[in-house]
Amino acid sequence: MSPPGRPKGGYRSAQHEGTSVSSLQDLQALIHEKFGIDPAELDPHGSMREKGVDSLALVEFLFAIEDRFGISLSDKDSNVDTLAELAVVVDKARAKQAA
Amino acid sequence: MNPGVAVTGIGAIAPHGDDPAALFAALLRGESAVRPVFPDLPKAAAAATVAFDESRWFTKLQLAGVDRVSQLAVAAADLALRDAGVDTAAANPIDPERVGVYVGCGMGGAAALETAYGGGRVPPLTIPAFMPNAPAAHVAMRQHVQGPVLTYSVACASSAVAIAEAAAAVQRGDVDLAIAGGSEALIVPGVVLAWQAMQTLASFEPGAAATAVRPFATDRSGFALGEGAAFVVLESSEHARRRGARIRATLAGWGLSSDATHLTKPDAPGQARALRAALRRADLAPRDIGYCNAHGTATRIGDVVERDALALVWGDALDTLRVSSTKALHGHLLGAAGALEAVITVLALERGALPPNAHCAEVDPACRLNLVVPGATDAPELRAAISNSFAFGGTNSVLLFTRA
Repeated sequence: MSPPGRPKGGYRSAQHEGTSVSSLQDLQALIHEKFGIDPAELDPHGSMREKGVDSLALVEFLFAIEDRFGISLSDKDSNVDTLAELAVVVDKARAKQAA
Repeated sequence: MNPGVAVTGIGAIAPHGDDPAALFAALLRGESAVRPVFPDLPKAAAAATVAFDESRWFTKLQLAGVDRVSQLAVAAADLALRDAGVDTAAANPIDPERVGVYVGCGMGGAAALETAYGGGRVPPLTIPAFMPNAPAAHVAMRQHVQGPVLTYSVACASSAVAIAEAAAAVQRGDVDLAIAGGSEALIVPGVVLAWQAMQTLASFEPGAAATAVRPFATDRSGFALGEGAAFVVLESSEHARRRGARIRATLAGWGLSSDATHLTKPDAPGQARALRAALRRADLAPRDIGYCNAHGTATRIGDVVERDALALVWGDALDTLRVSSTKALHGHLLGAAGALEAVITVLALERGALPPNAHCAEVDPACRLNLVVPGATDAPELRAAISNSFAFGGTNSVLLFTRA
C-alpha cells in the first residue's frame, strides 16, 4: 500500500532534488527490466521484500546495479529494503565515483 | 507378492516436448530430436535440447538465481502432479510433511558454472544456482513439500536411483506421496568439450546429426547429450484409490547394485545383479517381462555388456524380451535419463506399444537381442517392462513396471 499523498511510481529522493538527478528512476527501470516489477506496482518507500524481492533476489539486484552504473556497493547495502533507500546509497556511490 | 507402488502421475520437459502423448507418438515414429549444436566448437557436436518457455512457470523475479536445471525440474514435477490430480496449494492438500521429493541430478547448474568461468564478474548467486540439490529444493518450495527432499547424484543412474529410493520410502510408509524423477541441463560448450574429450560422444557426418546415435548397431560410435527433466508421482495403491487417483502403472520392482570393478567400464555381472534384484522384488520371472528400455548408450563397449547382462539373467528366454534404446532419439539425459525412460516405459505399458530401436540398420552380432524394429511397435500383450540405467561409478538401477 502506498502511504497517502505520495505518487505511485516515478519519485525522486528529496535530498538530491535541485542538485542532481536521483538514481531512483534508473533503479525503477532496472528492477522492471530485471525482475519485471512495474514502477507503478512498487512504492519507492514500500518494502521490496514484501513484493517478493527476497534476500537472494536483492543480492542479484545489487550486482546488476553495480554492473549498470560501474559502482561498488558494500555488503551493508544489502540491508536496505526500499527503492528510495537504495537510490540514496546509489546516489552516494555514483557521486563518489564521479568525484 | 510385493504389491509395488502405484504410478499416478507422469510429467516431462523433454527434447520431444512436454506432452506425454505427443512425446510417445514421436518416439513410435522414430523421430530424432538430436541436432547439431555449437557450430564454433573445433569438433562437430550434436545434442537434444529442450524448447522451454520458462515464463509458463516463473516470473522474472522468481528466476533470480535459478539455473535452467532447476527450472526444468520445477516444470516437469508440476506437470506430473497435475497429471496425478494433486494440487499442493489446495485448501485440503495432502499433509506436506507426508510428501517427499526425490531428484536425480548428475551435474547441477552447468550454465551457472559456465558463466562463472566466462571471464566476467561472477554472479553472486552462482553457488545456489549450481548446487546439485537446487532442483529438488526448488520443487519442494514450489509444491510446499516438507517431508524428505533428497538429491541423488549417481551419474547416468541418478534419477532411476531416485525413483527406486522414493518407491522404497512409499513402501516403508515414510511418505504418503513421492515426487520422484530427475533433471539435467548441461548443454553448454565446456561440458560438451569435456564429454568429447572422454571419447563417448557419437561422431557424425555433416547433415547426419539426427541419426548419429545408433544403439546396438555395428556402426555405433557413442551417444549424444540430451537435456530435460521427468518426474513420476508414486503412492501406495491404497492411498491412490482412497483419493480416487488414476493408476497409470505399478512400479512392481526395483533393483540396485554396484559393479565395484571399474569407474567407467561397465560390468555384466554387476548389471545382472540389479536385474535379478528387480525381478525378485516384483516376484516375476524373466519370461514375464515383455520389454526392456535399455540403457543403450551406443558406446562400443556399453551395448555389448548390457546385452551380456540381459543374457545372463534371461538365458534361453532372451528372445522373448523385446529391447530398444530410446537414447537414439532423445539423447542421453544423464541424471534425468532414468526418469524420462521410466516415463516412456509407463507409456509403453499403457499404450501396448514399444518405441523402436532406431538407426540400427545392421545389428552388431555381439549385441544380438530381440530389438524393436521400426514399424513393428505393437505390443498389445505387454504386461511388464523394465528400464535399465547403468552409471559411471558402477551403480546400476533397474525399474520394473507392470500394467495397472
